[in-house]
Amino acid sequence: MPEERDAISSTQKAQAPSAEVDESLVERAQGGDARAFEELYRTHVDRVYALCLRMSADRERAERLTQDAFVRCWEKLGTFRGESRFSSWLYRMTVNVVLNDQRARKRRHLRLESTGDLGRYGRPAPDRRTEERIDVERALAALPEAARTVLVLYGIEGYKYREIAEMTGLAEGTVKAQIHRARKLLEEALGRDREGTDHDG
Amino acid sequence: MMDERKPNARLTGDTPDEEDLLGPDLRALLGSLPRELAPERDLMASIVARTGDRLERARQIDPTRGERKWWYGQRLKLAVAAVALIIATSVVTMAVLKRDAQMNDAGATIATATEQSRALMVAADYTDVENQYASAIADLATTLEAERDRLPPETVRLIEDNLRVIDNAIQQSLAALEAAPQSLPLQQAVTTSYERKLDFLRQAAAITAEG
Repeated sequence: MPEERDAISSTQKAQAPSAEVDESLVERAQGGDARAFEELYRTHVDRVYALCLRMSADRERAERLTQDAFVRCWEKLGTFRGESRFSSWLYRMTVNVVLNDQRARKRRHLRLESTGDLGRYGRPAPDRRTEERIDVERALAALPEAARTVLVLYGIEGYKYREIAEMTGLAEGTVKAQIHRARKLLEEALGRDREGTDHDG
Repeated sequence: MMDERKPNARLTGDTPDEEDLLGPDLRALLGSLPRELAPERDLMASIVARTGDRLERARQIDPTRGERKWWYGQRLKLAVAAVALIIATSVVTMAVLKRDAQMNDAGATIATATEQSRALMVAADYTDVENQYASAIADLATTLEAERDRLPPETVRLIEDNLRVIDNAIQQSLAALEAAPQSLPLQQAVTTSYERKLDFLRQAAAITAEG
């Protein structure tokens, strides 16, 4: 599919050095080189953590899930055959770790925690763009868990309906419905924020 | 087949292979979010701790030289150091057991008593545990520091890396124990962390002194 390849190429060019470095590090880590594994951790931890944080909307849980993902990665590294990029493999594994955690939490009937802590999204800077991002992050974090999960996977991580359906065990139609719902809720939340800002300003 | 999917491809609108459920505005908004967010603390130490000793042992292998780390050729000396460690640990354990015996007149077996004493040490006040190890740890750390200039940089780095990992493990165990002071596994984790640090410092000091 040449069009798709062309469309992807600019990002892939930017990612190429990282992919090559990953390949070398993965080989070394598979051979038991823990320093190589640590390098893989340093390279990918911010992305893995962002995924965990957005899906869980809780900083402490995101830290634990990030650890879970890397522990699992270390344990399963021997099964990685290079059929996909290491990063894709790791992020997919991370999604599964978070989804499994959500299922376990539901089984334990635990309530979702407060999502009002903006500090977890990094240090806010005073510029308008950053404020907008914080608004979006806050609105995302306030979504119901199921809606937030599909929206993060679809809108931020770029997975397709089919992939999200596979990962979550939901029907594709349900995934689409969840995305519609999440979109509506997110737009409402952002609209309220903007109205509030307009009134304030 | 290589997975060539660009995870964020749809955010740029250049692979419209599915119906777009978000619309351009929301897509752009989500696309403006940073893909990476740094955790507030380094999680590597916890990962090492959670993988048990497997990862840490692997960290001590030097793959670039195709041979074991500096300590591997010193196995005999390490064995001697280990025996010394066992003796020292036994002395500490016996002292605690004696204290326990005076308090409780316990007649448990040595193995059971050792476990109990460990738990009691921490349950009573885990700062006591820290104090008991602090002196030995300080002495060994001073010895190592004095020899630092004689050691190869790689060895110094290895020692520092390991100590950092162990110190992190100690801090995390203590923090966890504060939240659940009655937890026996956490109590044991604190004691084990201190023993691990003492063990490592003894080994490093013994090799440094003879090397």
